[in-house]
Amino acid sequence: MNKITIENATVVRGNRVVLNNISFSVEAGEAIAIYGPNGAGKTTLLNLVNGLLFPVEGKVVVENIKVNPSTARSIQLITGYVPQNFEIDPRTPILTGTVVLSGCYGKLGLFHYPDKSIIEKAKKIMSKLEIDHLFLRPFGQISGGERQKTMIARAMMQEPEILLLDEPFSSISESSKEKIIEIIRFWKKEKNLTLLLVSHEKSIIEKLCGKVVYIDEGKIVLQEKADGNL
Amino acid sequence: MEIYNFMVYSWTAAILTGLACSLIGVIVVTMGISFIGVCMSHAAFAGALAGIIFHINPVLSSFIFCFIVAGILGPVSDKGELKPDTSLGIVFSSSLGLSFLLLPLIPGSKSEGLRFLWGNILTVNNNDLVIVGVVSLLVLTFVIAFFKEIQILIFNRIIAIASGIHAREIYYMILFLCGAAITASIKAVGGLLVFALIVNPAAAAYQITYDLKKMFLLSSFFGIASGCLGLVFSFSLNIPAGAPIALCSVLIFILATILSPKRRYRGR
Repeated sequence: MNKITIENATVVRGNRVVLNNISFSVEAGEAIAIYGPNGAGKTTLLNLVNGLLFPVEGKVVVENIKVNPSTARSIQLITGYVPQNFEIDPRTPILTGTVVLSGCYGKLGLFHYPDKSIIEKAKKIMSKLEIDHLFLRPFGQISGGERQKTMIARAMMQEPEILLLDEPFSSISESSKEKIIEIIRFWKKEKNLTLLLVSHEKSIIEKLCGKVVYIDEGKIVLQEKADGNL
Repeated sequence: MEIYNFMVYSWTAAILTGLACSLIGVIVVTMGISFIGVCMSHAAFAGALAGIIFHINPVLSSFIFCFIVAGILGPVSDKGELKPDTSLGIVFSSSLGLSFLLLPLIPGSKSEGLRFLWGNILTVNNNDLVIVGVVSLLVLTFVIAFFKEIQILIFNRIIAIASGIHAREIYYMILFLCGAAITASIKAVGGLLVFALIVNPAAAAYQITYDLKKMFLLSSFFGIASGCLGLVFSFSLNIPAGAPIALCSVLIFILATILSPKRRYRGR
């Protein structure tokens, strides 16, 4: 059964067509890499899936729900999103532990706060990613790699059915990459996660994904198995 | 007895305006939208002038103008067609232009209109206190009830939305409460100086802590302290209270910056 279906989706920003009549589908538990040059529309494609953007033509269906402004929130609750590294003022008053905990804020709902068991769970996830010592450290003061690990931990706190990873390893050291790939593979298998990964690193794609979708200038130019065959 | 009432009203107004403005200030300063305070305060001033001209309660018309501005800024920033500073600049210049247009239209003396520009905490009455009290309570309740959502909105609005948080609704509430806090304070502090109470206490707290809860507490303390110290200077020097309140908040900010542990951290 398809977890994600994108049908003839076109996204326009200003005068520029960012995605042009894109169609593809992802089955439940499948892991797909989105590959292509800078500005090809990879991040836009991820944002279509979690309802941060909507197509001007065509449709996106996630879990049999058509993604539109009124259904976006229900999609976002089941979708873990790890964005590209972003700039943040080092003085921003938010602790790394709070960023991880925020993954479950949507599911907790209004007026409910994380209890002891949720905090323990956050610390456990952080410990697996070897960042538990950063729980009380301001997020703005940790390194780029630590921030990416924090964002992965935040996405996992959300207990997602779909995991969207946008260049999640770009600042992570080579020694840590292998371990995190193993952790994501374990989570994927344990929770039957559907995974969409945007990455420039072919070695990571081969380890995590079964299929690659090549995008260039907003169009899908090729779909193949991660080992080069389809 | 009358002097006693006047003193109680002034001190209560100083505390409540300090509290409401400094709490909402933490949110707008940490979200990097401090200029919204300038926009709202000028919209409130224009609203008050319109109220005087059309014989409507100026506080009510200020509320209406601020809510219109909030209603414009929210969707504009959502659509992302304009950068926030551009949309704020357009709304600010429109409010200022409207104020200059309305001021000469006030029949007779302009002093009633200018009262809302400079403010006078010594003239607040029972009704003003009720309004600023209700707004302070609303802002405080909002901060307590939506603390975790505010935290993540301050961190990153896109991530807040992607987490399934009611980010848009809460952002709109922030805009409306900012307008309400400014309108409720405009009679006491004035349309020009209320911006100081929005930005300075929060900016001072921002220099001191990385913990948002402590930041809210420190900012409230600095806001109330600015109001009360300003009032002391106003009484002792026999000058209008708005200016010393604003200057006290600046002084607190300077002290916080000099003593900032964050500054020491950055310096290492």
